[in-house]
Amino acid sequence: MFKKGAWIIGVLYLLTVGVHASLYAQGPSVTASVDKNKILLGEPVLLTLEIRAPAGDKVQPLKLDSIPHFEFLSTDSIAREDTDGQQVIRQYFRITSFDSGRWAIPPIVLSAEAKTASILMDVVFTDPFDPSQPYHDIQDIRSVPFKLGKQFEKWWYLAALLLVMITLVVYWMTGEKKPRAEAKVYKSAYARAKQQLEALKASRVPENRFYARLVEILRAFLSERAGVNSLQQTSGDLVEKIKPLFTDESLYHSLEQVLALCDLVKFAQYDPEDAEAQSAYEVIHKGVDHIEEGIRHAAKLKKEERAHSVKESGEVIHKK
Amino acid sequence: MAKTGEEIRQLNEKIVGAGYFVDALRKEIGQVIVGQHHMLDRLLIGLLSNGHVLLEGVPGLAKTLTIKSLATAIQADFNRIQFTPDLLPADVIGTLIYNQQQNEFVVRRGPIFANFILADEINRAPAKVQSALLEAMQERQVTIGDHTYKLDDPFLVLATQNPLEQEGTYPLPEAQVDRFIMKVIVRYPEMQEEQLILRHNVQGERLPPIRPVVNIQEILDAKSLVRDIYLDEKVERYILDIVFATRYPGRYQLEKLTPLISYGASPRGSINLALAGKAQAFLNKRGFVIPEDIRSVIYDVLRHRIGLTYEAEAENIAAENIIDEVLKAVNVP
Repeated sequence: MFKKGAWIIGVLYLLTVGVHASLYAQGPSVTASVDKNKILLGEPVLLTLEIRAPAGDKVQPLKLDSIPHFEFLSTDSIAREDTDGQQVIRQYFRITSFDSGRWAIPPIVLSAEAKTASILMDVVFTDPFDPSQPYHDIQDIRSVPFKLGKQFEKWWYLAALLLVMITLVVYWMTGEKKPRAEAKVYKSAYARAKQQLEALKASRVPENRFYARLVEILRAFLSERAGVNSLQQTSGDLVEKIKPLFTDESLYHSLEQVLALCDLVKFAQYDPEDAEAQSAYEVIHKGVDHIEEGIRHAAKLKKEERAHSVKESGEVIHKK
Repeated sequence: MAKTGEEIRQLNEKIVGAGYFVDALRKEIGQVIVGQHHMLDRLLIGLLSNGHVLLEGVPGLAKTLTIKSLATAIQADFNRIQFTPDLLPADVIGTLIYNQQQNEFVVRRGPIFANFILADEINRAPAKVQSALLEAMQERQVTIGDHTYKLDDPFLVLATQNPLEQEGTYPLPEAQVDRFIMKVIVRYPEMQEEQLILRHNVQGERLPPIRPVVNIQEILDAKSLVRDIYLDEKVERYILDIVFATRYPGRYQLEKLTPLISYGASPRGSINLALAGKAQAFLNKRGFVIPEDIRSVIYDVLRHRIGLTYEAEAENIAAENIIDEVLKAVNVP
């Protein structure tokens, strides 16, 4: 009786285990693998996850974005295939580590029943690490291949420059010579005023314009030579301003009259005689000469005075 | 209008003849008023150019006496209106009054009906009174009831402003100020002049009475001659350059003035500069205008027509400084 009971229990046990094993074999499974177990610091390693499940089961790829001590470099594409009534999903991750040591990629869990085994990884500085070797740069010094052009580049430039110079010298010595442009000669305000007066005399401008030009020449000369802002002054103001420049009283009064005459021509349509034009021209001409002479004389006196004062101060120092 | 040299010469001769009264007036008024030649000349310019003058100065500078003397010397009517805050337009131009005996409204003409009006302290009256006066100045006629009355010719309004005691005043707006041909600043007399004034007043010397030296018809003739005075195109251009330099300083290499000017002189500025220049030429007994004439009146004609910015006011820059810079930059023809 006892034996019969034990046999039934044994059969039931085996039945239970068998059914369970059969049920278990039909669920999804996951495995993880790496292409190498020993890497240098920062060296990429390919982590492959393979999920197997019966065809028709709804299985989603794993979302894996962090593993302690490892960095994810990239997540490669997911491959799916169906073979013998099974679906296989392969996921590829490129990971690396910047922490030296022995680290474990922990079990990656798909479900309570399906998880990977942990994988041991060695992360090392060098391979193999030989403490007896001397210190050196991260990368070994590599020799640069010898190139002729690079070495002599500057010489090429120098040669080209020399060639251009020789060509220019040869052209200059043998080529057709162009007439040199006339250099601009700086003319003083006085010389320019004299030249403009001569040009005005030679020209045949209408009377109204003649008088206006006469005053313009005088004003421009005074503005440049005597520093009087004559272009913005009325004739009356101008006459007052230039008074100190005149030592010849009669010439000053003549100039005053000429300026008044010019105003009459310009602003009152006055039609002067030819003799008046000639006389006005001469007064302005003499006036310009007189002012120039006065300015030069004043400059000379100032220079002499300065030289005298320097000499005097020198004597005083000498006596002391 | 273009004139020939001969016409200008003839006009010159006429002006020399007609302008005799200028010296006579100066001499006659000089017996009563010590100094203030500038003010007198500006009043004559206003009279001859058909303009009105705004006088600004502290009390006691003989403004009223000068105008009164001028009126007497040219045998003209003179009225003085003291502007106060309670003044009404009818107090200036007149009104209709009911006459019980005649059972009708009769016109009572206001003090504006005279040749010379002294509007004393114009900025003390409210805007409506100022406006009534300025309208009459511009149109030279007033309407009372249904009738329009022409004002006398010559008609010269001299308005005064006290630069002190600005509390409770009604400053004239820019548009109203622009109607005055000139704004004249009346300054204190020189020390020697004041010594004479002091003697006259303290020693009780009686001032000689002003005698008439010219009549109104002669003044009207002179006004018509002033209108005929020749203004050459070059001088016109000079006037325009000056006025435009106040509006667009950058065009005249005066960029530094741009932040200081809020608005430049109006076209009325150009017109009045030309008119005042002609009157100045008349006073100098000339039949044509020269740049000197323009420069001699420019400060009085333009000072109230140039608006200054806050920046200019903060730096204590006055319109006169702006005009100085403009004159330094604009070329004289």
